[in-house]
Amino acid sequence: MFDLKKEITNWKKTLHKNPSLEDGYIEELESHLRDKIEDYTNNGMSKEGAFKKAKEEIGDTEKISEEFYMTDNLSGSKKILWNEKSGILILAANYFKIAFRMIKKHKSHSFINIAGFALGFTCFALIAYFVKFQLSYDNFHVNKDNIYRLTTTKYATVPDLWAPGLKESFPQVRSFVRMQHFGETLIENKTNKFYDKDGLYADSTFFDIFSFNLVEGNARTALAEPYSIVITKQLSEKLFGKENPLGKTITFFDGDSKQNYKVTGLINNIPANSHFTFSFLVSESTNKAWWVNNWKMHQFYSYLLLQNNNVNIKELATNIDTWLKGKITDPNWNETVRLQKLTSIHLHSHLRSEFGVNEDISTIYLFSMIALLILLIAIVNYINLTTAKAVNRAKEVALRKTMGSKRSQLIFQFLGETVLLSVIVFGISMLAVELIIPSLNNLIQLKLDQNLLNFPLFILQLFGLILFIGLLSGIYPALVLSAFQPSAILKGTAKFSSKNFLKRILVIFQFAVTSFLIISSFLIYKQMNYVNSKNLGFNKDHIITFPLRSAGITKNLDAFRNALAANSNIISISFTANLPGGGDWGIPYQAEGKNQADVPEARWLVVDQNFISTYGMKIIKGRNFNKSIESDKNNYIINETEAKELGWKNPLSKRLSINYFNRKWGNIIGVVKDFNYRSLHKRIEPLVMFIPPDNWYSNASIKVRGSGLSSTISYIKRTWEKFETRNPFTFSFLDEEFNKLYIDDQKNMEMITMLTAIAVFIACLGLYAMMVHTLTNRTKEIGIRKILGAKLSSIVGLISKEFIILIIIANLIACPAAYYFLKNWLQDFAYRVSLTPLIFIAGCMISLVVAFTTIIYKIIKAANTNPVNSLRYE
Amino acid sequence: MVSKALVAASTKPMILSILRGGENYGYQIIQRVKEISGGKLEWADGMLYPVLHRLEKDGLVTTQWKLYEGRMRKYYKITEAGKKELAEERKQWLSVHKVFLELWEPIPSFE
Repeated sequence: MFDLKKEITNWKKTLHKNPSLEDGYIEELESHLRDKIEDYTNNGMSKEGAFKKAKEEIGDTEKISEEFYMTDNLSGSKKILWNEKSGILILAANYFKIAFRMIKKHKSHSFINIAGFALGFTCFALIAYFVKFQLSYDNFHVNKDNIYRLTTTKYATVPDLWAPGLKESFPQVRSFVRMQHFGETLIENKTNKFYDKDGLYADSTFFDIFSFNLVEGNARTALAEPYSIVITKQLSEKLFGKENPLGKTITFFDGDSKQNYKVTGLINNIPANSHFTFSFLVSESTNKAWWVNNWKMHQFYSYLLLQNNNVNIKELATNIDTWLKGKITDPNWNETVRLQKLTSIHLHSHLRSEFGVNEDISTIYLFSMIALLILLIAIVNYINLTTAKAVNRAKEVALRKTMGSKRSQLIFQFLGETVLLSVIVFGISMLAVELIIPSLNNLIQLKLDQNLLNFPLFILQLFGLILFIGLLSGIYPALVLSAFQPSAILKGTAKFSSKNFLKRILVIFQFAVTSFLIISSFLIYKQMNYVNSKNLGFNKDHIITFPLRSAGITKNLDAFRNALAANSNIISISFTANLPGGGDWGIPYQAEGKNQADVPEARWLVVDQNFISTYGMKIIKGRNFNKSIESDKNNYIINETEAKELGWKNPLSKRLSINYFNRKWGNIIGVVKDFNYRSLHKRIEPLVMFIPPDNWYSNASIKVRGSGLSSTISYIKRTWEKFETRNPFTFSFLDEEFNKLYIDDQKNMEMITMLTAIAVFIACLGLYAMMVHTLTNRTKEIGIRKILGAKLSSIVGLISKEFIILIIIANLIACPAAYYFLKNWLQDFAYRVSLTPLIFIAGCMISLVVAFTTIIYKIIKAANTNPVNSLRYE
Repeated sequence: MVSKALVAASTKPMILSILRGGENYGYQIIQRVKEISGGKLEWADGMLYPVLHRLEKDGLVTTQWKLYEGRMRKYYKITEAGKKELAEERKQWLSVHKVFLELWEPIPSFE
């Protein structure tokens, strides 16, 4: 049976095959055909005959499109006259069209190109954002250029009398502010009861110097009167909710005493990029500590506001030194003053008693370097891929040139394409950055602003950068492409060299960087592992520490101890006045037969007779403190380093004294094996332990069994509550506190590992795409080789050899560079792993294996292709 | 039969003239020409549409798709510019026509 509908559909299909016939046109022809058929059938023709006749009269597609072309092009009435000025616009539109077509046509190529570039740029943008944040510390203070912190070469803090004295004696000093930690305090109101340890004492001049935003209260008087307090919004909300706190009273409980403070100011929360932070400020006039009015106790963070005109900082510091020598008459006192610019504290200051852990500028350099390397890898990818793809566009170039394109126009076109791609990449990257920032904040405990739009200048800079990169990475491919000789290409005699010198250099560069990063992250990982597992000289596991807080406990120490000891899960209990790894006092002392100048500076641990056993330390000479020997209260135990630095082979017969605490000469009764109670970045320092009067004890360290931990802790809590009702029980695990020493290293390691993985991935992406192009260009060669009898293995060897050699060269470059870099990095650790060849070999092997796995699948697939297929069209 | 060259030259004014009488679609236009010329002037089906498209591009006609008995049909309508163009063409054809009338008076024998 004749099916008209089907026949018409088929007829339409043949029309569709002709590219010059548009859909609407075909639609119209169909309508025409149907009208005709209708007419013929009305005149008595059969459907089949009518269709055949109508179809014939309309003509075949060739004829139709010919007519179409004729009328369209030869009517000549409105011929476009070529003219460069108006032509450039038409051309530009065409360039865009071609660029988008190229992206669409070579999907996997474009994907690799765009994804690799976007990934690299995203990493770069994130790190740039991080670095920008680190560099922005304390920049929000209006006076930032004239604020200097007064420190010594050892301590971040200075005695309280220095700053006011300086203001009186030096006209360069306009004003000053001193701050001191308030110490942990219990805050209680109707609804809340919590400890706050983030308070500071501060002089009334605080707001003259710093630009923290005072929302309520008078900046000049807020911190003048004793018992005045300025609180942050955060604390205010915790205590008073939405109410205005001004004039309200806050009660602090310190141990057994309580004190009311009047709220005289409310400030915005402290910006994340402030090198110090606090929850409240109490007027310095409230401070009644015993070290107030002192020339020698390092207790106060002191900031000077200098005159606007250029003060010579070096000269001023020297003058202050001389001035201090006149004030402090102690011949043994020997310190040198430093003036630190406010804005450089966060990245450059690593003194004792810093406000918090400062970042190190070397970390910033390290990350900046990695960011740059990743960006370079991505750019190299881009250049390589585009150049490799150039071969496929030779015909386009040849045609354009034949039609009169100038070389400059072609360069303009190809540069335009890379710029267009860069803009696409920019969009993707910015979106990615915005999405990643929250989890990055989480991962490395940062407080980066989550809204990138708050930094339009930064975005603009990145945009400028990516345009620049687009141009830069487009220049080489553009030059190569535009240099094609049209006659040679169109005749088919052009040869494209696959042994491109620059391409090889770029691949070597990429893999040198990746190997470098792999080796580095290996060693960094190894070092961190070492640090975490190194024998510290004591056992930090299963030790719970907590402050004793109030007289309810400190006055009944023995009863408290006995009550705790009743629990069989509690192995050992020690009370101390300070904690290892926490604040240990650097106080001058005297050693028998030594000039004061020869006595090494030592750390102090003020302990009881259970301390050594609780912490699992080892006594290598002499004995532990003994409670039943009364004289032990005046005796000392030192560590190996102290004995060594004093030059005492047998320290047991020697004596020490501490005038400062009115301690008379006492014997050294024991030597403990060195133990690391501070970060392994630092050498073990000399240490002296002694037993203080009972009322000095302020901390407890309790060694418990690993099993039933929670019930043991709740037992301790119940016991605590029997002795002390006002102050809630809080505790921490010693090993956790200890790990905090390495948090910076840890997070750096995590970031570096992540970035290394990304760098490797981008490089492999590039290598993979390169391999695809190489194989496409050598399909015929492989086919011929196979016909001539080459085995799979020899073809794989042939193709991969070239790349493997490049990667080996890359490794040869990477190893010495990594060696040099890592040696420097390790210098920073007092205790470190050695740089064994194994790390380098393993790193190189990994980069080789990764590279090889990336390309091997494609090679084998190409080598397995039936030569008939690859040579068919020859 | 009319020669190809003459057909090509006269297509445009003919189409415009037909459209002057109201909007129309391709097939009908061809039928009209056939009718008027008594079959002496026959257009190839395929050639009409490119010319129509050309006219549209030049702004002499506008088009509109319409539904007719469940089928789509494209209607062409003359524009003001098209009318002007037609007047111009008409002038030219008439002058040519006038010349021939003069030359061929009395009617010469073509045999």
